[in-house]
Amino acid sequence: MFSTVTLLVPYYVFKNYLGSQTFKILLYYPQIVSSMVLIVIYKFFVDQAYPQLIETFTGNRPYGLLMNLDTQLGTLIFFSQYFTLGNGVIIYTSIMANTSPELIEAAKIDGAGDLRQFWHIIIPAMYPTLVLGWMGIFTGVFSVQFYVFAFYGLNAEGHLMTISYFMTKIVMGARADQYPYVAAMGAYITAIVTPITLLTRKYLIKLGPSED
Amino acid sequence: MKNKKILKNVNWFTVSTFIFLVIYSILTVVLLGWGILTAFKDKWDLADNVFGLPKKWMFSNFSDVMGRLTVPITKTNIIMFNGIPRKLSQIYNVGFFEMFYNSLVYTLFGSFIASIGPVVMGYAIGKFDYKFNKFLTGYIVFSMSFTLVGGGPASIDFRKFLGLYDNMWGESLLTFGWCSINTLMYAGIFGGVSKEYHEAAWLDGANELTIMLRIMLPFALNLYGTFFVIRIIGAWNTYGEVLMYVPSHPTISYATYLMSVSKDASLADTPHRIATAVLMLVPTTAVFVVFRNKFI
Repeated sequence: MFSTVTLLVPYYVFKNYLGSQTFKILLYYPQIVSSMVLIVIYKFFVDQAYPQLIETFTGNRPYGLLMNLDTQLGTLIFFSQYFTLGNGVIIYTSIMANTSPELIEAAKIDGAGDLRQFWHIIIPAMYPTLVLGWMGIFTGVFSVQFYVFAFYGLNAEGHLMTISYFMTKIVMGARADQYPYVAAMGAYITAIVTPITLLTRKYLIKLGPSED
Repeated sequence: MKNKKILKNVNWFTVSTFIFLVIYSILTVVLLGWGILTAFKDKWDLADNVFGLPKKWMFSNFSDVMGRLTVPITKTNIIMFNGIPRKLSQIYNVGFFEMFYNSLVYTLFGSFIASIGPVVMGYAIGKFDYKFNKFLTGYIVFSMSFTLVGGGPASIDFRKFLGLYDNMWGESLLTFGWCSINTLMYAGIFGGVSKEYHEAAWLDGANELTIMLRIMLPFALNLYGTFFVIRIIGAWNTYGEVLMYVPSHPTISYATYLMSVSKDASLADTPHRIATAVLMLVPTTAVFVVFRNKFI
């Protein structure tokens, strides 16, 4: 959902406002670089550089964000959202570029501002793609990890465990005797999520806006 | 004139989004900049001087990584001992250059194989008007919407069944596929090419393969180039699939991951770990700079 809320960012880039070209490069670059590279740098930054930074300004040295149990999950979620923002910008900007320029021009002539154009023209034009993204929410509940495996390998603590991480831990831990149970668990989840996803897609498209 | 255009667009949306993007950009620059500077420090310099420039630029960190970065793998051989076959497991350390070779095979060969499927299927769907094409298109859309949860064990069993498990060339071959948005995009391009090109080549005696490769493919060459470059970057950065399906043939990305989570790494201090990550950054940054027009 966060990536849907940040549709305004791709819209800003699509409209070519101040600094768009520079922001495009800085948004795309983390997508080009391996998530592993950013994770290594981020890990040591939040655990070593961040406490030093806070100590410099306040005189108190806190725990690193990944060392503190209270901030661990939030730090991982923040990284996953930061890292995926650029991906959304790439996809949504391309889709917005396919919107009819005559429609946007006509809206401008009629006095429609940026947000009105965004709500009444851009959103309906890209609605089917947005629906695809929202459908991912249901499977995302069972497939999201917030990069826990990349940060901790097989050694993440219990409060960070998600269903996906649990299944990954069994598969990567080479416990072949457990494979049938993981496969069965996956099949159950898929059987539950698939009809919900397809029905949701059907009704979202039926009830949603269209270009007409 | 430019200032007037900027002022004309000042409203709460542009201002708040601009501030958000500035904060995002500062975070990216600070993270990467700090990482690159830290890669040039030694651990004592880092302890005293977290944010400053290195007191002594340790270029040796990178040569240390290239010389000492290894991934231990277990190889099991069957040997005859007193006439009885026995399993002998040995630990073998894969070095940097062997990992680099594995990365190249998976990146270049794997990306080439992966990029063939969408082109061929896109051509078949876009150029030929058969009823079966509707099924293929629907199947592609369905497979993009449908996410199989927990498919790892089945994938591993499938590879073992085919005899391609833990085989880098085999894993690269298995990247072949066509159920993606790329296929539909190629279908759109080939469908838009006039049939007269096809007919003229046919009259000149060209067969279907010649027409596809020499007449039609040039129309989609730009898109193919973009997808190929994106695929190369993705393949270079992949570590999860390598870890799961080709554990005896680690890549640089796999080594970086292993080093970042392992407590027993021989290059365990922060500057060396970050130097490994920075080394991984170099090829993808070079590709991004050279092919930036395809991304931006």
